[in-house]
Amino acid sequence: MSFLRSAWYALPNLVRFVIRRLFVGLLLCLGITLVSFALTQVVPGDPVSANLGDRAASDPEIVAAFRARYGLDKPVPQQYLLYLERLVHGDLGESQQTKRPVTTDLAQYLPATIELATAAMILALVLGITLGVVAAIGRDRWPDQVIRVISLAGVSIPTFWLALVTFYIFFFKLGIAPGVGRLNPGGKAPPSITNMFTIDALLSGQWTTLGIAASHLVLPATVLAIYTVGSITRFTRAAMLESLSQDYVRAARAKGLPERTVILRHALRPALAAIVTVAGMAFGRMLSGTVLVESVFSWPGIGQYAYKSALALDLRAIMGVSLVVAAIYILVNMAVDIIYALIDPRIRLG
Amino acid sequence: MAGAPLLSIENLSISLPTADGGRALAVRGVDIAIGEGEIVGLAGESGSGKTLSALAALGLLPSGATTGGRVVFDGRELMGEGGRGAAAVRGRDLAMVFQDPMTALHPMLSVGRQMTEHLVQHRRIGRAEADRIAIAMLDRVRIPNPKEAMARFPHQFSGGMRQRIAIASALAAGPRLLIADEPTTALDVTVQAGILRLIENLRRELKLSVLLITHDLGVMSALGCRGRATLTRAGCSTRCRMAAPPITRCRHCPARRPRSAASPPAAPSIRAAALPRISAAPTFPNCLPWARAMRSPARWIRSRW
Repeated sequence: MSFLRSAWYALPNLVRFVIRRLFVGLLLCLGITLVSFALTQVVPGDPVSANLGDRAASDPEIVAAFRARYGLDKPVPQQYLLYLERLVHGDLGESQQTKRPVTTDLAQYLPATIELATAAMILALVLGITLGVVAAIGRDRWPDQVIRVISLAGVSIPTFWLALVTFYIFFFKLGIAPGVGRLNPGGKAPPSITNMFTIDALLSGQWTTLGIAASHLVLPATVLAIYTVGSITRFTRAAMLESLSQDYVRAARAKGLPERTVILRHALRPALAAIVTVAGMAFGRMLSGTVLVESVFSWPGIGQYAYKSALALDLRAIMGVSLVVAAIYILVNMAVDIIYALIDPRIRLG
Repeated sequence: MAGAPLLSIENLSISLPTADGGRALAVRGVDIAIGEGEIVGLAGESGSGKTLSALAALGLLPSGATTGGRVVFDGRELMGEGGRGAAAVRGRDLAMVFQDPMTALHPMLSVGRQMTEHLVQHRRIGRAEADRIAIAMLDRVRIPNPKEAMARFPHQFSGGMRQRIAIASALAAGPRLLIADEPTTALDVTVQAGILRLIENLRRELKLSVLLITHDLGVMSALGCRGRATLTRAGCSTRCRMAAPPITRCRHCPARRPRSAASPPAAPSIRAAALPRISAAPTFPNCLPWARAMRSPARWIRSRW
């Protein structure tokens, strides 16, 4: 035992931290399967009537076959244990909607959403931090006022409305934006590596496809980012004002450093710590909130998949989506904590 | 003091905007002159405009402040032109140490970074050369293991040590004038004397001019502001000579006590004392960069930024 203990403490802090958090995350995921399973049991509605037509649902034989096929004829606790047993083998069950394994569906839809959300997140971080810093520097003067209006608009405009309006303007009226979907109609997808089309095209050197995929990404990613741009801008401004008033910033100025260095190194760095936390939460919200944007832009992502599954009471699909989104959320939060520790040496992981 | 003073502040006035839209005249008619290698005290109660006067010399007044009068450093006008005059000498010829070392050092930047960033900026030298100068300066202010201290962060040092680092950082660029704004106020009484002695020694060794801002007349006399002192009150200044600082006449001061065989031996100097050093932070063996990176990835990545 003592050997194990000393081996454990010989590991670098970072590795120890990651192992511990992954273990906790695993337990959390287990809890999530329990909750989502319980919820699927208590929601009103019957998967049989949701999935079978009226004629089929009135035929007892077909209903019995349907229930047997999806294990709905067994007692509830046994259903859950069966689910867990399959889960350990990487099997999330079969979707009643698509008649395919849920893992196959997820492998197809999840990368599209991750691609969209990541693009949106990068955009939101770059824009939000830039605007926030500019607003803080020009405090109470016109840049600050203009940016305040922008960020307020960002957080108050409903996403689906913005999606419709921008699509109408940029596609129908101006013709700048490409149409819906991830590629042009009839466009050939790049070889499937990550199923994120931009990355796949980049990896396989298909530059035309890369351009098309990227151009299709711009508008939905921007729309999805707008809310987060607003909130990150406001957060950055507040955090920058806080750090700009600190003694160490005055000391940096007294050392005769150029204003750019004072702002980007001495003032922005403490502000970043706060921003990273906000950004981590925003990423989780983006993943779960893409459904509206995905619907408008016909983006075949996990939001649409979850929405359709929910309508059809497709239990296995719903549970699969919740589990995967939860896992991503846990990983993002872990990443946030690590980045936080990288920014601030006073934070100790472990 | 021969010829023109190094820094002269003449009839300085500063007014600040107030919350209700008016203006408050915070400093009026302050005159200070500091010669080459001279130490001048600037004393006054809090709120009497000591720090503001110093910040005006550095061109670091809060935005919205308006000024009158003249600040001349070595023949160069520092005020006016939107503070461009001060920007040319700030940090390079004119350095400042602040009151609270707990907040004046950046908590997220390594000591080494904070010691060298302005060196690289002002002197146009490489990182390695800047490191060498910084380590020598840390050694001069008696930071133990200066080489290792460079890689550490301010929170790993005590308050007195941090003030030494702040002083070393201010002096690393080789300024001609040091403005020390209440350098000992935030420190433990036992540490204060050490910092004051350090400033006085550095002044002598580096032929530095010092403007010492304090509200503590005892501090001024301890530093031997025998030259001159300026007192401020309600934003006005009065120049006065402290011919023989009153505190040193105090009969309890060991320095003034007649040395005789009967008197106890002088207290040992701090350096000579045989007190074992407390090694608070573990010292890492000097290992290869990649091994260091493996040992603490977070610190390694941070050091690249």
